[in-house]
Amino acid sequence: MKKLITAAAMAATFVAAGCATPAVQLTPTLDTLQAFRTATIPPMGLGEFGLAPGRPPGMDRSLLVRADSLRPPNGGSFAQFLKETLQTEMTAAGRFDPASTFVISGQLTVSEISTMSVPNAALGARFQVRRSGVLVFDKELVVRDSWQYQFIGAIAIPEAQERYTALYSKLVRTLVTDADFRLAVAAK
Amino acid sequence: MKYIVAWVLAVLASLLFVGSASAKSFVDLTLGDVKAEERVTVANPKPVQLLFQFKTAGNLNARATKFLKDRVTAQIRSNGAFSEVSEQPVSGGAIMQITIDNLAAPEAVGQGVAAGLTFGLAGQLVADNYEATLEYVSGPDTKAVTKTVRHRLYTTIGRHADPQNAVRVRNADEGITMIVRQVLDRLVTDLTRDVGFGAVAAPSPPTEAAPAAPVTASEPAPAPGGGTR
Repeated sequence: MKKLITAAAMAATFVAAGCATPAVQLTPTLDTLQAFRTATIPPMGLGEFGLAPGRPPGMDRSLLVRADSLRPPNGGSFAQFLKETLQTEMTAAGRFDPASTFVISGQLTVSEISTMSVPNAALGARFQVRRSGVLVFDKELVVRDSWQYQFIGAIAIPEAQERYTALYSKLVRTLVTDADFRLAVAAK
Repeated sequence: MKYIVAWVLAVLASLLFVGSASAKSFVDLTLGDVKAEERVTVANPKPVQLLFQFKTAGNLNARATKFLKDRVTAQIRSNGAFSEVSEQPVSGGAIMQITIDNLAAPEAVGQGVAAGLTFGLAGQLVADNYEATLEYVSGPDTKAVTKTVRHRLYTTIGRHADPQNAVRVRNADEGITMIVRQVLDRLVTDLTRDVGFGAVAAPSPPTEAAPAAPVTASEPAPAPGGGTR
């Protein structure tokens, strides 16, 4: 009986270990690129991205979605994923310049998925922009999404993961269209 | 004991029907291929920055986007409407975003389950609807020209009659390949014929004396487009 329990536990461990889905890097979108262009945002560099102080370290590493878990791509962190998404959009918009005097940094403040009665996801970060080392912008931005409940896990889990992942593009777009951000980086 | 015998007989009977529960894929013929006389030739093709995204019921699907991105890029390149197709910004600032949205009906899962549980006796026809949208801006501060087409992939599960007005394909992957090719070809053709893309002469119908030849469009206009956004 003891062997049976051990075997069952091992089997359960293998199954659980197999249920870790890496997030997929997003592609740039026309809306965000247009937002970069119409606001005449200058080329900028990217600084450090990490977890906000006081947040649990696990928050940056994985998210539980029912029996599955979502992990950042390439074994990184969700804060790094946000930085990569921002860099992808900025590069596609021709607004990424590592040598720029403007540098954006970020701290992950919110990262949540719920597949309960009203499935929802949220992503937030505190963005800071420095121009030649001087802080010109400091603001937390949070984006959310909610959708219809699905009972079947094969539908509910991928949908939750896709909805959460899409928030990274949405957060970048929210930053780029933020009036305070635009004012802070406007050419002077 | 009699329950065990009955269960074994039920399993054996089920196994006989497993073959009939297989899926068959069909592509709708309504959209079809672009005819030669519908095509226009861009006289002076310009570079374009291509963005592609696949959606499922209106939501970004990063995995499907990654899966199809190279195919989409290769086909747009082979079309010849643009001098260069790049992921990065191009001179002139033209951007084209292609979005394919799979508007699959939620009842499809239930139908599939029903067909599976009855080992194909409950035959089902499931339609996968696709809406493809092209948005093109010729440069900064210009309005987008928008074109949209729809397509459909049918799947029959179990014992069900083949769908009307559709061609059988080997599998769903071949069906998706055909759908992506046809919607992209149609979208780019519609774009090149749009006044927002450049002055385009109306194609003349084919005649015996003068066989149909692709009409020529002037270079893409740098001015704002006339489409909707």
